[in-house]
Formats: sequence, C-alpha cells, structure tokens
Amino acid sequence: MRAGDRLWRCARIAALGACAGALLGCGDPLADGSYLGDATIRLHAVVQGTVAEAQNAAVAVLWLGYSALAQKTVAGADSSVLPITSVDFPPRFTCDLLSPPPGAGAYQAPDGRIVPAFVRLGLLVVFDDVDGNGRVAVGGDGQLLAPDRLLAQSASHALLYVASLPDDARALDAQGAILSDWETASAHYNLVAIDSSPLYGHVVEAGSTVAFIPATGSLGL
Amino acid sequence: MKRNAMWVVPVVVGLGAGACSSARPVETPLESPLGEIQTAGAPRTVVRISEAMRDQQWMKDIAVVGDDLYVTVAWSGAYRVPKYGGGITALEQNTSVEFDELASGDGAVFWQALSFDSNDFPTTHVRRVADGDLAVSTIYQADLATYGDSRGKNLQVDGSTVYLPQIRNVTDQGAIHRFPTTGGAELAPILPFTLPGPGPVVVTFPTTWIVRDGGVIYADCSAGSGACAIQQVAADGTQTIATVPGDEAYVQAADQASLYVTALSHVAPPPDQRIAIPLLKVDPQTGAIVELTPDCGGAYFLLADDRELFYVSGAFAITAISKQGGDPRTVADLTDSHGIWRMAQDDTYLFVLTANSEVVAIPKGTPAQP
Repeated sequence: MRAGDRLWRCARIAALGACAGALLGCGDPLADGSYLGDATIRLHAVVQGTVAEAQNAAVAVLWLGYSALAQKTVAGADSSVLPITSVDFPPRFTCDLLSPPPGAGAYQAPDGRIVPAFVRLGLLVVFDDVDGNGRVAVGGDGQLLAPDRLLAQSASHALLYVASLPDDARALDAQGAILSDWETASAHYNLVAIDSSPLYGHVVEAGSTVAFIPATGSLGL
Repeated sequence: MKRNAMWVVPVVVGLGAGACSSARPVETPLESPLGEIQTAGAPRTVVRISEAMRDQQWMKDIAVVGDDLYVTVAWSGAYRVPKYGGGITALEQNTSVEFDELASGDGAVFWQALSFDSNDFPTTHVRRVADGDLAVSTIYQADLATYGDSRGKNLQVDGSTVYLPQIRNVTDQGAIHRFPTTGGAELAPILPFTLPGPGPVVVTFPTTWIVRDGGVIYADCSAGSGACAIQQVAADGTQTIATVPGDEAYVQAADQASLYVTALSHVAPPPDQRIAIPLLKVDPQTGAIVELTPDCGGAYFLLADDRELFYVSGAFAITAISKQGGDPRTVADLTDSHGIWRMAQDDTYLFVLTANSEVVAIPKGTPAQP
C-alpha cells in the first residue's frame, strides 16, 4: 500500500475524530505543511463535536447553482471531492482543492438582481462516501444523493472562486450581494467567512480555520 | 527542372490548404459581458455575438436548462453559458454546418445540425448532450431537410422521444419524425403533410404544434369553415380535443392542465386597426374554452410558468397575463432590439434572443393577479 493511500484512508477516518488511535499510526504526510505544490487553495479545518460513525468520511465542496441564493436551495449543485493531505490531530485536518470549479458565472442575488461578477460559490461539507466511489452528488431536493450521507457542514466558511471580478467592486459592496468587501477578493480562490444567510460574508485569510458542525438535519444555506 | 517546379507548386498549395482547414480552430463568436450593477427590474445582457463577428454570425435558438443557457449560432456551433452570464463552453463547433433549433428534456439538451453535400442537399443530424455534461453524441441522422417556422418550436421532446418535422429532399412532402432521446431505431413518423405553396394561408398544416403525452397537438382549420379543430395525433390515431372559432388557429403552449391557443378570423378590421387575436385557454379533457384576452397581439413565443403566460405582442412588447385571465401587463418593451427571435425562461427571468444577436435576461416581475 502506498503511503498516500494509507494516509488517505486514515485521514478520512481521522477527519471525524473517530479513530484517534489509528490516526497516530498514519504514515508520513505526502508533503510537509509549508508545501503547497499545485494546490489552488489549502483548507485548514476542524470538526466541532462528534459526528456520526462513518465508513468513508470525505470532504467535498458543493458548487452552488446560479439561482441558489435567490431560491435558497442547494439543488443542482456540482461537487468536487477534496483529498485530505494531512491530519494534524483529530479532529483537525488539512485538505487541498487542486482544480477550479466546473464553471463560473453570474449569480442571482437574493433580491433577484444579477451580481455582475463571474464567480462560483462552494459549500463545504463532510460526508460519508458510503458507496466508496469518491464522488458525491446533490439531488433535486437539495440533499445528498443516497447512499452517501451528510456528516457535517461548515456554517462558518464557504469558498468563493472568482473568474472575473466586478468592474466596480466598491460599489458592489453596498449591494448586499455575496460579499461585503468585494475589493478584498482576489482572482481564483477566496475563503469567505459567512456573516449571514444565505452565504453573505467577507473574505478572510486562506489559512483561517474552517469549522465543520455535525449535521443535525438536512443540507441547507 | 521546370517540370518539377510545376509539380511542386500544387502539392504545396494543397498541403497548405489542408493544414489550414484541419488545424485552424473555430473562433467562438460569443461573448458574455460582465455588466454593471443591475437596477431592479432592468434587463441585462447575458451573451451576445462579439463585435468582431456581428456581421458574420447570428444566433438561431436558445434554451435554458437548470443553471445553463444553451445557444446555437448558425454557422458556428452550439454553446453553453451560465444562464446569467459567465464562461462560454463550446459543445460543438463547425463552420460548415448550420446549427439550428434547441430542445431539452429527459435530462439532456438536443440541437439540430445540418450538413450539406456537393449538391447542397441537406443531411439532418440531431445531437445530444446530457445536462451539464460535455460529451456530445449524434442520436439521429437522415438525408432529409428540416421544416422550420419561427412561430413555433420544431424540435421538441416529450418523455423519452424527440419530435422533428422532416421534408424529403426535392419534394414538398414531409412528416413529423420521432426517435428516442438516447438514439436508436426511429419510430414511425406521424402527421404526414405537404408544404404549403404560395397563395392564401393554408391552415391544414402544423405551422405551430406542441407535443404532449405522446401526441402532437395542432390546429386543423378547414378553409372557409370559420372553425379550427384542435387535434391530437399519436401513433394510434387522431383525436379532436376541441373546436375553436376562427379561420386560423395556432397551438402555442401547454401546461399540465391546459392548452393555450391563438385564433383569428379573416374579417377586415375597422380602419386604422389591426385584426384582434384572442388568446384562448383550452381544457384538453373537456374541450372547454376560456378567452383569456380578446387581443394578445399574436402571442408569439408563448411561455407558461406556474401562474402566468408570457408572450410577444406585436413585434417588441413582452406581455404577461394570468392563466386565469384579467388585464395583461407589460413586462418589457424591446423596441430598441429590432425584433425578438426566441424566448426561454426560468423561475424569475425571461431570456430573450433579439435581432441584435444578443440574449437579454428580463425580470418577469410581480404577477398582477394572484
């Protein structure tokens, strides 16, 4: 078994804080903490609380559809599953997002207007990859498609991928559309601290800790 | 030596030409502008033919499926763009092919692509791409021409079947062809027809039609009778759903409960007035007819959502009316657009393909009636 495979298996379990003993036996990380390699963004995360027991815990970004904010639904989201690159100590872990989202475009704001920026918003979740296919999908009801199960969701942070920044970032700050500090956003990945629902917030350092809260109900914005 | 030189030149030219035609990438003729902060209720350009290509290319059709807007550009390709604007994805590109109508259903998007032989005889291809996917397949191909009427959609999907009128080359004979959405053996064509020739409006012909529950629904108007039969034609026969008054009638749209039909009589209008065109709601179960408005101005490109009907009245005005009737309201006046070619919708926006070769997203606004 390759070290990476061993790490991956252990890390998925460790992300849940469910096998601390096994975690201590995990192999060497693929790279040390300062190496970013080709990572587009590295997320530092913590699971707060105890999540349900899982067979194959994994982290995913659910890329929201362009009407998601106006309709307050996750239905139609695309997804990317993130490899966990290191486990610092249960329940802390680090994972990398190595590629851009499947697309970027203009979102419809909650007030119905179209936000003049080409972006993609991502909801961060931990899920149980029950079928072990390394993928997760969202159904028309806005919930993870079975047999995969939602284990935890970040209510504190979301990802914002910026393909084209607004022409007048400062003017957009006052519009209540996705960000309150568009002038702070940079091209490509931004980590956003969520200030209010649905997914309205401000840009924070990429190294900020993303908190995952165990799922008590359904997936939501 | 001279002889050799003579031979060399054609070879080099031929190689050069071949290299150019095979290696030259097709330029995407579309652009999606970032735009400015939108005033509430204002239209916004989602995608348009780029300035450099505006004299050479034009959009043929649009379709909105989920988060995406699909666009065909006549001699360029089929494209997908996030429905409120964003990155453009080319699904198929070929400058020797005429791309035409789009349709969606059964988890996929379909478009017509016509190629032409050395005699200019067309071959119709229907392509398929699953929603959000990139893999394009051909699900139908026939050495036949298509029939298109801008008042209606000619490529339609119902359940797991695609419907497309086809004309035999060098004839005026056609029928609506049917084939599975995933490809495979073609089903028997239905509703054979003869293309109308010059002269008075021929009305025993599916100018506009819709497909529902496995049947093609259209208005069959016998000349001079003053009435049109709304017919549902399926593989197992023809059923008359209702009879509407008028010399011409057009089945424009349908939802779960009703058909929406425009009808008009060949009666000279009063001086300085145009012929009134009523918009009718027809119950396909009982045949009951309700006049929603006495004059809809044509109701071109009629779309139905949960509560309202949206249509183009005249040439430039987009109008909405409750499915229960009442006063129509003006959603937008696109006089500056030079014309409206197609419409599509999502829950909150109408997507309008204009003669300016751009697609604008127009907020539907608030219904006047509950």
